[in-house]
Amino acid sequence: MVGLHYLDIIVLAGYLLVILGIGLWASIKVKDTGDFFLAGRKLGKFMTAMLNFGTGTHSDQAVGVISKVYTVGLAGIWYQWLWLLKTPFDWVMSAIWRRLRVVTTADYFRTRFSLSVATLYAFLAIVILMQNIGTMLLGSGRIVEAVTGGQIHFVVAVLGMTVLFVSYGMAGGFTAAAITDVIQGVLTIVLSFLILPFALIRVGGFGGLHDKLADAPYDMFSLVAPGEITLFFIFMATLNGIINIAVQPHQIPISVACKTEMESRVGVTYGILVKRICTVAWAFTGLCAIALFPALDNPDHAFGEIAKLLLPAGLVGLLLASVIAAVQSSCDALMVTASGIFTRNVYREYFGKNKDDKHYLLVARISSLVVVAGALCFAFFMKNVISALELFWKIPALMGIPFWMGIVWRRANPTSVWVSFISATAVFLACEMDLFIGYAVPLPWEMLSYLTAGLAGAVIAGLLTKPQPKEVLDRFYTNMQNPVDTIEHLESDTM
Amino acid sequence: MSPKKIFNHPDWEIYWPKPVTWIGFLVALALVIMIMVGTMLIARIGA
Repeated sequence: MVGLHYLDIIVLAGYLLVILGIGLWASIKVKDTGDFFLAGRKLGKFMTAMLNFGTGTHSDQAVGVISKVYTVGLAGIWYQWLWLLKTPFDWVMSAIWRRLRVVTTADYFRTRFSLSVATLYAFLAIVILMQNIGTMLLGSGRIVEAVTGGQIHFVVAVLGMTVLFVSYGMAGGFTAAAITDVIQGVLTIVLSFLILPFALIRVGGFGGLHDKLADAPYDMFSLVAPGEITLFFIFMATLNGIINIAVQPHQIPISVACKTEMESRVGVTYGILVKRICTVAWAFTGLCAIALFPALDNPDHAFGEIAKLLLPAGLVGLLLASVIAAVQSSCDALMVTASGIFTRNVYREYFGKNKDDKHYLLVARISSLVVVAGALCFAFFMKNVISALELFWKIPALMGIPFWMGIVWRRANPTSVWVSFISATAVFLACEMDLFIGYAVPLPWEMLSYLTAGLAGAVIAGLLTKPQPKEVLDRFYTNMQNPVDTIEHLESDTM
Repeated sequence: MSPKKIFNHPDWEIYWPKPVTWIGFLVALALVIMIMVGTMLIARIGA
């Protein structure tokens, strides 16, 4: 039936029933916007780690890494490991995010800079989140299509998963997302390593894998690939990642949802380290895919094809359950974050001040649907998973420079943010449209160009214009020296 | 005691990290290096 064994269908149906029960339970728990957006700030180390792992880990990333490794060899691992060298900085950044004393990143731009800057970020963040959700749906849809031998069409798979995560996320908010993240986290870890032994046995172990890839034009087992993934690429991707991650809209809510600063540090840092280890398994699975399917038309199908070929009945169902769980937990967390940004930083500021909490909860749920519609456009119109991932690295970084300048430099002001963003965006668009005398700028040089333009714009405008009032800056930088205590956040969670 | 700045300039707000920050950062960095070295070693198995 639909290209699946009956055991796979039983496993899948079992998963869906469990998740339905959790969604209903979580929806009873959601009483106000504090519960909906921040899970009532009750998350401990383990839940934070799983939330960060689950929100930051999606099946599209496994598809992306395997697809890139299939194309360039082991060096394709950097399509996820661009965040690896950034991981120690999570220990520092998670404390910074909590000390900002805000619920969303847009709130930070509002308190440190101005309403206009917060609105600019809010719209950019909603685009980032739409694109992020769209990429996940694209990657997951490709897996379902490949695993079912095309009997479940890509469009049907994407729409089916969308209905699931929307209904789930709208009912249970962040609490539901956190619980599904634990389930999908465990499933993702198990399945990341489950396919690899089957694949290695099929290709004759590591020795057989080396033999089969011996004729490649260069060493497929090297962490750099000539002409494409060089040391310069790795350096720029890491730097871009540190700048980019600060403005990823889901990061602040995860840190803020923890009980204490230490729980935030441990949960955020180690949740994401687990993912780096899973990435290793994906990369070696990609190498096995080269040996097993040397001539795939679409590298995005490599993951699905290898699962279909190697996994026994029942485990394919578990893989699909994992894919759906990943879409549910990540996409509903991102959808809730996007609706939070819209409700708090756009709707409340411009259209509905001083309404009651139930009103804002309704707006958040309606705006979630608009976010999902945008995400579906991305899923259906993006070329492939690799280009979608690359776009996801670049867009947030356009606001990353102003974010960091605001943290460390008193002269950063609203004008400097606008000048920095416009400069970086102009260079980014010029690179994307090959406007540099028709020359297609390589990815690391594109990153260096727009980050330099953004930094130059911020510094020049900051030096030429007046800084924010001293008392505003003094309050902000004093807060940054002190961890959040429990009394403070009890007063500020709900709208 | 107020934390010490890295750059002694009124416009810059970068401070020397506290021990908990240093230790946590270095432990995470050590784990990252172990993951990278481990991956390179696995890639050499059977070569």
